[in-house]
Amino acid sequence: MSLCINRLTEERKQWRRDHPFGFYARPHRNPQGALDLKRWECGIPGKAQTLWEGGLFKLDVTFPDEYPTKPPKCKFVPPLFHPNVYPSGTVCLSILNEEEAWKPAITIKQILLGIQDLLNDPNPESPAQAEAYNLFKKDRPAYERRVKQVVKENPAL
Amino acid sequence: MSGHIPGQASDVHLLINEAKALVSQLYDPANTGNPAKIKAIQEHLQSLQKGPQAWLIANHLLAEDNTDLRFFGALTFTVKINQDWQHLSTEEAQELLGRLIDHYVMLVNGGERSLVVRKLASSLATIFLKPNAPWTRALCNLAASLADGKYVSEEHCKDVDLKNTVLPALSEGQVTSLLYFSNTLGEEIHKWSSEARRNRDDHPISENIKDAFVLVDVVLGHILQQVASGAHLSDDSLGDEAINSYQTWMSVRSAFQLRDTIPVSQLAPTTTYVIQCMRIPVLSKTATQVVVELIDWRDTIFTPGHISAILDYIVCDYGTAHIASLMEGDFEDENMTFLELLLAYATLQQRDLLTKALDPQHEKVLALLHTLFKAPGYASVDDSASPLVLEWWTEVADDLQEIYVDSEDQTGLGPAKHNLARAALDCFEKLKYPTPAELQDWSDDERSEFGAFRRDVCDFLLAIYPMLGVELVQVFQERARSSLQQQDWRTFEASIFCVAQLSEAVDENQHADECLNSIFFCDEFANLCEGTGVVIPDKPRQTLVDMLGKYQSYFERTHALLPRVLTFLFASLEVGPCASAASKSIAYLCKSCRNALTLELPAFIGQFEQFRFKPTATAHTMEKVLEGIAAIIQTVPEDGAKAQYLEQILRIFHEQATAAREEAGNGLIEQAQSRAQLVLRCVASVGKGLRTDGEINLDSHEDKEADAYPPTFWNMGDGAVVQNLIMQSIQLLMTDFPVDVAIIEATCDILKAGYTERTGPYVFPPMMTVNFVKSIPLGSAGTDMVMGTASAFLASHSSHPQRIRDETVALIVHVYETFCWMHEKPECYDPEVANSGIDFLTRLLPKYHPFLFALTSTPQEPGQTATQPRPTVLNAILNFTLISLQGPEPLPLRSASQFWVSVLNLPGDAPPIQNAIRECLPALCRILVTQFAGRCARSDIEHLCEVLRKVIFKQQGAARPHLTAALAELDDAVDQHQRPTVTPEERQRFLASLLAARGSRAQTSQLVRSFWVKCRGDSFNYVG
Repeated sequence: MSLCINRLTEERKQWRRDHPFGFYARPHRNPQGALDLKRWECGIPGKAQTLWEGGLFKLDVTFPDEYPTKPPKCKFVPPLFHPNVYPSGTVCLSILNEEEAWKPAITIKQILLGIQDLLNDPNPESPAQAEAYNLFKKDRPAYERRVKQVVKENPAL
Repeated sequence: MSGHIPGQASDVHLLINEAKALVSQLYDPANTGNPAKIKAIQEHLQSLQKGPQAWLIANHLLAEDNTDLRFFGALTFTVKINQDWQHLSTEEAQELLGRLIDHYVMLVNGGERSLVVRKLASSLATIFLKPNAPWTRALCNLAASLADGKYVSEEHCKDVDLKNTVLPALSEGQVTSLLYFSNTLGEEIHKWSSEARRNRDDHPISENIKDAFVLVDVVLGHILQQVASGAHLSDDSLGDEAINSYQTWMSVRSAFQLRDTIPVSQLAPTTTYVIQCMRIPVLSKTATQVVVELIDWRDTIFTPGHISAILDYIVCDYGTAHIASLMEGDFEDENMTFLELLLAYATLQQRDLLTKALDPQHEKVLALLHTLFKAPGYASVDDSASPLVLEWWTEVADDLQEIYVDSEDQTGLGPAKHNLARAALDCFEKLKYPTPAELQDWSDDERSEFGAFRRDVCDFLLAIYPMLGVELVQVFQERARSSLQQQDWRTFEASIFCVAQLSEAVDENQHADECLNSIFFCDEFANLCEGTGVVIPDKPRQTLVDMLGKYQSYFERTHALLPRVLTFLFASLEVGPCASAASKSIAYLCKSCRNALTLELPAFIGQFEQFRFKPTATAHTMEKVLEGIAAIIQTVPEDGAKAQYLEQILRIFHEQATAAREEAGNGLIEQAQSRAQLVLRCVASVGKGLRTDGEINLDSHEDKEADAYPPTFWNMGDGAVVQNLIMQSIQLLMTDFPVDVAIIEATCDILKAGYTERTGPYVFPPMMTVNFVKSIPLGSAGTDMVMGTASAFLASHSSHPQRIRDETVALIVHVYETFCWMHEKPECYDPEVANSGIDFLTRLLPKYHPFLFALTSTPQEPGQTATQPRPTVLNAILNFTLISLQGPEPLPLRSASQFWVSVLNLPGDAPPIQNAIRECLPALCRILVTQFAGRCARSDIEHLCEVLRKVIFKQQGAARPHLTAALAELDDAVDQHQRPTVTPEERQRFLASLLAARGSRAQTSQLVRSFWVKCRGDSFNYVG
C-alpha cells in the first residue's frame, strides 16, 4: 500500500475512534459502492454561540497522491459564502497551503476543526471571494444577515 | 548534594518549616475558593523546590507524619532531580539513589498510601532516565532492597534470583509497590522513546523489560493459582496493576524494537495468564481491555493456542452473559468491553466468518453479531452497542467488496451475501424514527447522534449494494408498500429512508425502476398524493419528500407519475420541515420535465395562489416554486397565452411592490425591505425559469450593425404589459426606496435573466442596464454584483460589440468617473468599487478593447463640477490600475494584476494599445520591482508575478532597461526600515535569472519569492 493510502486508512480508523461532536468525515463511495479513500465527504457544524450555529456545511476533501507530503484540497459543496472561500468553494487557509503552514502531521480532525474556527473568524488578510469579503468589511449587519441565511439553507439535522 | 553542609542547619530548618506551613495552607479547605492565593502559594513552593536547599527539604518532608507533606517531599525530589542532575557527582548520585530507595522501603513497609508511593516511584524513574544514572537493573534492585528491608547496592544483588528467591520473599504490599514502580518506569520509558529519540543504548532497557515480565508472570500466576484453589479474590488492585504492567511493557517492547530480546515464545505463558484473567470477575474488564488492544495492534503476540483460548472465553457462558446483559439494555462498561472483544476477535476472522462453513463456536460468534442489533432502545441515544456493531459490519462489507467485485473467484459469495442481507434487515429496526412524544424528551445532541447513526446505516447499505444488487432495494420496497397499506408510518418512513439512500446506486441506471414502479404506481400511493383518505404524519412526509428529490432521474423517465408526485410536493409545501426540500424538488422536476407538464399549468398556478398565503411561503420557497412554474410556462406555444399566465403571476408581485413602497413611506423600513426582496427575488426566478431549455445559440453571422433591440411581441406587442409590470416593479423598489444589498442582488438577477435570451419579457432595452449601474450610489454594498451584471451584459452582446457601442462607452465612462472621484477624494476610496471597476474593465478587454483605447479625451458632462481638470478616460483608468498595483488592498491589487495581464495579452499590432503600454511600462516595472523588494504581502506575490511574466514574455526588450533602472533605484524607493539588504550583484543576478526564465511560471515565482524573502529578512521564511 502506498504511503498516502496507508495514512488515510489510519486517519479513518482514528476518526472512527474519536471525532469532534457534530462533524462527519468519510471516504466517498462511488455509485458502484466502492470506497475512494482519496476523496472524503465531510460535514462541519457551525460553532455554538456563533452566527454559524445550527448550520452543517458539506466539504469535499481531496487528497493528492503525494499526501501527506502535500496537503489535501478542501472544497465546500456548494461553495460557501465566506471571505476565505474561493468562488469555486475551495478553502483558503494557511494550514492547507503547502508553502505556508502545512505539515504532514496535521490530521483530518485538525483540518476540520481549523476550518470550523475559520467560519466565525475570517482572515481579512487573504480574501478569496469579493462578495463575502466586501460585505464583511463594509456592511457587517448585511454580512451577518447573509450568514444567517446561509445557515438556514444548510441546517444540521 | 547539599546534604552535609554544616552551619546552615538553622537556615534550613526555617526553610523546612516554611515549606511545611505552605503545604498545609495549600491543602487547607479554607483556601480552595481563592485561586489567587493558591497560585501565590504554589509559586512560593516552586521557588523552594528549585532552591539550593531543596534536597534537604525533600528529605525532611518524606520523613514527616503527614501524607500531604510526604507527597510533597517526593514531588520535590523529582523537581530537583530534573533541575540539578548534571551538577551531581557520581558519588552524590549514588547516595541520592540509596536514600530514595531507603525512603521507598520504609514507606512501603509502613503501609504508605499509594499516592505517595507512586510519586516516589516516579522520582526513582526520573533518576533511571537521567544520563549516566548509576542504576542498571532498577526493578530487580528495588525488589532486592524491599526484600532486605533497606537499600542494597546493585553490586550486592548482582546474582540474586528475582523469580525464585526475591519475589517469593515479598509481602503482597511490597509486590504491589514494586508493580507501581514497574508501571511508572515502563510508562516513562515509553514516553521517552517518542521524545528526542536519543541514543537508546545508554540506558539498560532490555535488562529491565525481562524483569518486568517476570514480575507480571509471578503475580498473575500466583493469583490464578489462588483462584483455582477456590480462594475468593477480594482485592483487584494487585491483579489490575500486573495486567496494566504487562501492557505498558508490551508498548516498550514494540517502541524499542525489542521483539528479539523477548520473543513471543518467552512471553507466551504470561500472555496466557492475561487471557485467563478475563474469566476472573474482578480482573475481567482490565484484562479484556488489554487483550482487545493487543488484537487491534495486529502484532503477532498471540499463538494459535491463545486465539483459541480467546474464542473459548467469548462463547463460554461467562462471556455470553455479557451479551445477555446488553440485550437487556445494560450497556455498562463491563458489557461494552466484552462487546469490543467480540468485535476485535471477529475482525481477525472476518472473511472466514462470513464466507466459510463454520464450526459450532464460530457459528455462535456469527449469531452474536446478528443478535446485537436487537438490543433495546434507540441507537446511540440509549443503545451504545448498535453503532459499534454497525461499524464492524460496514468494515466487513468494504473488505468483502474488495474480494468479490471484479474478481473471477466468487467462492463463498453466497454465504457472504446471505449474512450481509441479514445484517441489513437486523439493523432496519434500529432505523425507526422515534414518535413525536419520545422525540420531545431528546436533547439536540441526542437527535444529532441518532441522525449520525442513520447516516452510518446509509453508508452500510451503499457498501453492501454492489454485492446484493437490486434485491436489496426490493426488500425495502416490499416493506414500504406493505407498511403503506397498513399505514404503519414508522416502518414506512424507515423503508423510504433506505430506498432514498440507495438512490445514489440506482437512480441513474434504471436497475431498480421496476421496484420503484411497484411503490409509486400502487393505489395507496396515489391516494396518499391526492390526499384522499390518507393522512401522512410530518416525519414520514419529510422523508418521502427528500426521497422524491433523490430520484429525479427516475421521475424524469416516468412522466406518468409526475402529476401525482408534484401534487404531493405542492401539498408538502405547507408543512414546515418539508417546505424547503419540496420547493427544490418542484423546481427541479418542473424544469427538467417541463414539456410533459404544460397541461398541468393551470392547476399548479392555482396551488401556488393558495400556497403564497401560508406561513411557509418565504422568499426561498416561493422563488423555487415560481422557477418551476415559469419553466412550464416557457413551453406554452402561443405567446399570447404565455403572456396571460405571466401577467397573472407578475401582477401579484407588482401589487406587493406597491405595498412595500407604502410601508417604506410609513417608516416601516425593515418590513418594506424584506417585502421588496421577496418581490424582486420572485420576479427574478420567474425570469430564470423562463429561459429556453437547451443551448444558447447566438448567431455570429448576423448583421453586426443591426439594431440591438428590435421590436418584438414582448416590447411593442401585447406582451409589453408583462414587461412593463417587471420594469415598474424594479422602478418602484429601486427609486427613492431604502435599497439594501439583497434588493440590489435580486435586481441584478432580473436583468441577467434576459441576457441569454433573444426575445421575451425579460429582454430589456440595453440602456436599462446602463441606467441601473449608474443609479447605484458610489460605495453601496453590492457594487461588485452590479459590475458583474454589467460584465454579463457585455458578454451577452460579445458577438456584435458594435451594436452596443454607446452603452459600452457609457459604462466605461461611469467607471472612469468613480475612479476620478476616488482619486480626487481619497476619503471616499472604496476597495470594492475599485476592485469591481477594474474587474469590469478586465473582462471587457478581449472583445471591447477598441472602445476603451479610443477614449483618449476627457468626456464633457453637462454640469460637471470637478475641482480640477480631469485626465483623459484612458489615462485615468490606466493610472488608477497602476496605483492599485501598489496599494494596500488585496482585491484591487489582484484585479489590477489581472487587468495588466490581459492588456499585455492584447494583439500587439494595434497602435493605440502599443502606445499605452509603452507609456506605462516604466511605471509598471518600477512598481513590480519595488513590490518584490519586500514591500508587498506574501499573498500578493503570485498575482504580481503573473504581470511580471507577461512583461518579460511579451515586452522583454523594452522592459529590460526599466527593470534594471528600477532595481538600481531600489534603495530610494523602499521605506527606510525595509531597506533591502541585497547587493548590486545580487540584483543583477536576479534580473538575469528572470530574463533567462523567459516568463516560466514556476521559475519566475521561485526567483521572486527568494528575492522577496532576502529583502524582508530570513525571519519571513517559512521553516519546515
